[in-house]
Amino acid sequence: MVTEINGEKIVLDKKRAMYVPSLETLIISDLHLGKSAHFRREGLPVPAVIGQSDLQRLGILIEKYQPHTLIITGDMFHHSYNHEVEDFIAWRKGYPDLKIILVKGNHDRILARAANNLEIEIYDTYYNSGPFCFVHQQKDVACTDKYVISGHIHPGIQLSGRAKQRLRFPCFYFGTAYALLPAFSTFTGLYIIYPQKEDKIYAITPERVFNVTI
Amino acid sequence: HLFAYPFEGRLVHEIMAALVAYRISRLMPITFSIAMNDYGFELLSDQEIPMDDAIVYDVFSPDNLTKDIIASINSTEMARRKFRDIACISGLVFQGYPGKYVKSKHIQSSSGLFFDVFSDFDKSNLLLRQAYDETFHYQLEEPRLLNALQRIQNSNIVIKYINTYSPFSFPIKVDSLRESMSSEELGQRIERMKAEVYKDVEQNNGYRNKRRKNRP
Repeated sequence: MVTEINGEKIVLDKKRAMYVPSLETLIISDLHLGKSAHFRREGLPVPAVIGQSDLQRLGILIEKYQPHTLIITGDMFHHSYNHEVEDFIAWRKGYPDLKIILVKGNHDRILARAANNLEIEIYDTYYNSGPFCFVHQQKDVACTDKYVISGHIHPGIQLSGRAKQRLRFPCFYFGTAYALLPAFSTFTGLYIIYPQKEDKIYAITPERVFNVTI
Repeated sequence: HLFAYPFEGRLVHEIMAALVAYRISRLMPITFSIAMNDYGFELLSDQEIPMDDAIVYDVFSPDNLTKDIIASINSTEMARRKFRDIACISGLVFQGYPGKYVKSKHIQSSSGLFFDVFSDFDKSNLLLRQAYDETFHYQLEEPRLLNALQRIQNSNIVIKYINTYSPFSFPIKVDSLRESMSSEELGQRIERMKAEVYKDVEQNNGYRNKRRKNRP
């Protein structure tokens, strides 16, 4: 779905990513690599395929948009070092010309140890590009003159209808001052947000992205 | 609203309601919310529910029972509800310590996430299969359902069109434990619901937010 923020054209993809054509940049948030491995280490049998499936989906997005840069607004890794980090390093080798930028999130603890092999640029609190300021949590805002794009929340929207209908979807949220990106990983829950009238919401369904702004 | 009173008990009604809803949903794209108690069940939709003397005997027919039951269970969320208990017992989801239990809503969403993840990535997962098995066998009482449908088939089915709620309907209507089932295309449902939300917001000047803390 093509739309715009403050005059800047953006593309919202149903695979939970945002692409800004003028910056040739693909943006995702909350990848949570290693989450399923982390759960398995704690004794909870979560399928191992999830991490690979998420990386595969990211690969498809990169093939589709051919960006120069990939920005991840935080929580790229879920917890501590596990084999999914190796999976990422192997995957990364498939895109040697792609610049990857990470704005650190609260989950990105392992980076001190493995940072050198990952070949990504890491920023502690924010990263500016074009008219946007990319952060992990919206409250970390240091750049007040730019439009803030953040993650962390894993936003979802709930649509209610007559006859007790209820549908819940992950969504993109665009408020007047900042945006919330959906969690890229499918192994995440949803935090339902209740927007104001001026806010724009785009629900992500398996079929396509729907504009559900009121 | 469609209310039916077979008087077969809640467990049979749960399956029968899903079955009837499924069969009606094959006639046209429609979305249902389903509720039941020991007397009968309700199908609620935002569209007119087709029901008349011509189709009622087909919809309540014992023919093709097993196939239709399997299809109707898969279209509702019965297995997902069953999975909640399985997730807690198997240790996938932590309920909290006695005296400080985790809120059940949190368990619902966690177990729902596991259910989705297993359904997408590990269909042969034993816990997932257990949820479906339990829905089929434990609750199903298929012979009893078959007897009930045969009895109904040989009886006189009375259809009444009324404008208000009847006395028997009220306890079913207010039941909060509901199933839902839809044969509509998702895009269509979203467009309709959007239009209603728009109307609601216009009247109330904003979303009616029951939990203020969720404002972004």
